Amino acid sequence: MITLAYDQSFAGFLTVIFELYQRFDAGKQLTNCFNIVKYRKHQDDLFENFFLITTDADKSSRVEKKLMQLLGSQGIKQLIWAFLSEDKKIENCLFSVIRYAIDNPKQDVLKNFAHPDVLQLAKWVKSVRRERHRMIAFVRFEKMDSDVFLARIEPDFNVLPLIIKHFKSRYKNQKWIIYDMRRQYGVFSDMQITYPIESIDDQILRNSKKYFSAEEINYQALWKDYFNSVNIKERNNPKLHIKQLPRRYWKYLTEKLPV
Amino acid sequence: MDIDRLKEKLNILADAAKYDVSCSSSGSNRKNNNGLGNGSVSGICHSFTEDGRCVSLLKILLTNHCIYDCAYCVSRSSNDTQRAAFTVQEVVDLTINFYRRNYIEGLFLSSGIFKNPDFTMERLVRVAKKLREEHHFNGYIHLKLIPKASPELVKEAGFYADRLSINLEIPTESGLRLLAPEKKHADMISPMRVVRNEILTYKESKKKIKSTPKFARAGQSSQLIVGATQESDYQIIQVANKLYQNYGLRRVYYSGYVPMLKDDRLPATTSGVPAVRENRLYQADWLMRFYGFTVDEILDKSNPNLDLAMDPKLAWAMRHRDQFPVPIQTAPLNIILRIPGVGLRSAYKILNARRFHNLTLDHLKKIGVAVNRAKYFIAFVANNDNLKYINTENFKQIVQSSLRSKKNITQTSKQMSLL
Repeated sequence: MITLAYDQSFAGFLTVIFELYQRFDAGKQLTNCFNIVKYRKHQDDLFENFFLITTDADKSSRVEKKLMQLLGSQGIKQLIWAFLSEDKKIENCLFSVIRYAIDNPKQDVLKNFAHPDVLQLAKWVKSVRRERHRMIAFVRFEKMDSDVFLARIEPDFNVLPLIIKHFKSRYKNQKWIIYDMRRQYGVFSDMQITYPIESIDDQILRNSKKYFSAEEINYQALWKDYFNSVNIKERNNPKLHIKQLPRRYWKYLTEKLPV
Repeated sequence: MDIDRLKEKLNILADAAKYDVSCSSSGSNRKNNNGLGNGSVSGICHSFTEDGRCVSLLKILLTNHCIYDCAYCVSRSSNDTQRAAFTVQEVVDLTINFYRRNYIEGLFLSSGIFKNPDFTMERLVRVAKKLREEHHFNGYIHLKLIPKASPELVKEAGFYADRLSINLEIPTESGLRLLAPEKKHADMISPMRVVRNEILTYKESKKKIKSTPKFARAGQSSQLIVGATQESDYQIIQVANKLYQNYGLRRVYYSGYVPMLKDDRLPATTSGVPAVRENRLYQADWLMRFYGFTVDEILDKSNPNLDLAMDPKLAWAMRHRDQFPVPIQTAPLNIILRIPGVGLRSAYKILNARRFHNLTLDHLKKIGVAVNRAKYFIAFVANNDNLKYINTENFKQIVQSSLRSKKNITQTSKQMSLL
C-alpha cells in the first residue's frame, strides 16, 4: 500500500489526485492500493511507502478542470462539501468516486447511489449540508461594546466557509464576526467586505460577557423568557427536543444557557 | 427600557400565541438592499422548544384583550387571565433586536380583537409597515388576518407581509356555532378570498408590468383545531382539501387541541392531547399535496377516521392489495410514490439508481426507504420472499408486528415527530 499525505487543503487533495495518475499510474491499479491521509508530524515513521505531496496550484487546477468536464460545477461542489467533513477516510472515498468518474466518462456517475462510494459521498454531503444548515440556524450573535456582533461556533465539520455568503447578504448594516473556536479561525464583516481572521483576543472569546454592549444582557434575558413561554408543557417531548437541538450545540445557544 | 414590564408582557403575549402552530418561514425570497435581513426560501428553524416544536419567528400577540368569547381560546373574554398589550414600537424593537442576533427569521404577529376588527387589523398592518419602511427590514413577516376585517386593510397587509393567515380553527360550521357563536366560517373565508384574488391579480399584472410588487409572496395558510369538537378525520381533510383547491392555500396546519380550559362544551381537561391523530392528519395532508392521493382515496364515508396504528399510505395499501406488488425497475414515479415506506426523496433516488442496477431490498434500505413496510409491496428482479404474505388472511397483523418492534403507539400521550 502506498500512503500519500497532503496539507489538508482542497487544492492539496487535488494535487494528490494529479500525482496518483501521473506518478503512480493509479488508473491501472486497484483503488485500495492507495491511502490518502492528512499530513501530521512524524507520520512518515508510521507508514512504509510514504510520500508527502506538495500542493501545486497548476496541478490542482488541471485536475479541477478535468472534474469540471466529468462532474460539472454541481459535482465539484459535492466533492468540496464532503471534503469539509474532514473525515479520516474522506480522501479515499473521494478518490474512489473520481476514479469511477474517470473510468466512465459518459455516465452521470454521481447518480448511481448503488455504488458504495457514491452513496458514501452523498451521505457526507448530506451530513455537511445538515451541519451547515444548523450553523445558519444556531449561530447566536452577541452585541459587543464596539458595536460588533460576535458569534462563537464549534461545528462538527468545517462549515464556516459555507455560511459566510448567507450572513453577508443577511446582515448588511451591522458589523459581525463568526469565529470557529475549534479550528481557531473566523470571518469578520465590516458591512462591505468580509475578511478572514486568524485570532481574536482570548479574553474576549473566553469571557465575552465583560465586553457586552449595554443592552445585550436585556435582550438575552428577553429571548430566554420568550423561548420558555412558547413551550407547551402539556406536550413536552424531551427525546425529540434533544434530537432537534443536540446538546453539543447548547454551549453557544443563548436560550439554553443558564441565567 | 423598562425591562421587567417588557418581560412580563412578552411572557403573557408569547404564551397566548403559542397555540397557533404555524411556524413556517419559507417562501420568501425578499432581497436585502443595504437594510436588515432577507428571506430564506426554504425557511430556517432557529431553535426548538422542549415540546419538540420549532422556533422560527417571534410569535406574539399584539394584545390578548379580546371582545370575543370563543370557548377553545385562552384569550377568550370570559377567561380570567392576565391581559397585556404591546405598543407598535415595542414589537418593532423586539423584532429587530432578535433578528440582529440571529434568534429568529422574522415576526409572526397575531392579536386578540380589541374595540373592533378593523381597529385591530390596522394596528397589525402598522407594525409591518414600520418594519418595512422605517427600518428597511426584509426578514419574514407573517400577519394574522382578523375575521371581518375590511378588504382594504387585508390588501394593505399583503403588501407588507410575506404570509397572511386566518384560522378556520373549528372544521365544521356546527362545531363553530357551538364553541364560538359570534363567528361564522364565512367571516374567515371572505378574507381568504380577498387574498387569493389579490395574489392572482398581482400575478396577472406582473406579466405585463415587470415592476409589480409581489402580494403576500409566501401565500396564505390556515389552521384547524383537532379534537375540540366531534368532527371526523374525513371531514377535516375534506375541509383542508377545499382550502387548497379553492383558495390556493400553501399550508393547512392541524393543531391537536390542548385541553386547558374548563367548559362543558369542550373535552375534559384530563383528556390529553391527540398527538398521534394530529400526526396522522399531517401524513394524510402530505399524501394529498405531494403524493398524488385524492381525499376520497385516503378516507371515505364508511371509513371516516384515520387508523392511528398505521400511516395513511400503508392503510390505503392494505385496502388496495390488488395494486401490489409494484415492479421497482419499471414502475413510473406516481406508482413508486404509492409504496408504503417510500418517501419523495427515496422515490427520486430509486428512479436514478435503477438505471444503473437491478435494485435489491438492501439498496432500498441504504437509500433510506422504510423497508419494514416497503418490503411487502415491492417486486424485484430477484425473488422477494416477503411477497408471499400479501394475500394471506393475517397480512395486517404480520405488517403491524414488524412496525410494532420499532415503536409502541398509544393513542394520546406518546408524542411523535411531526415532520
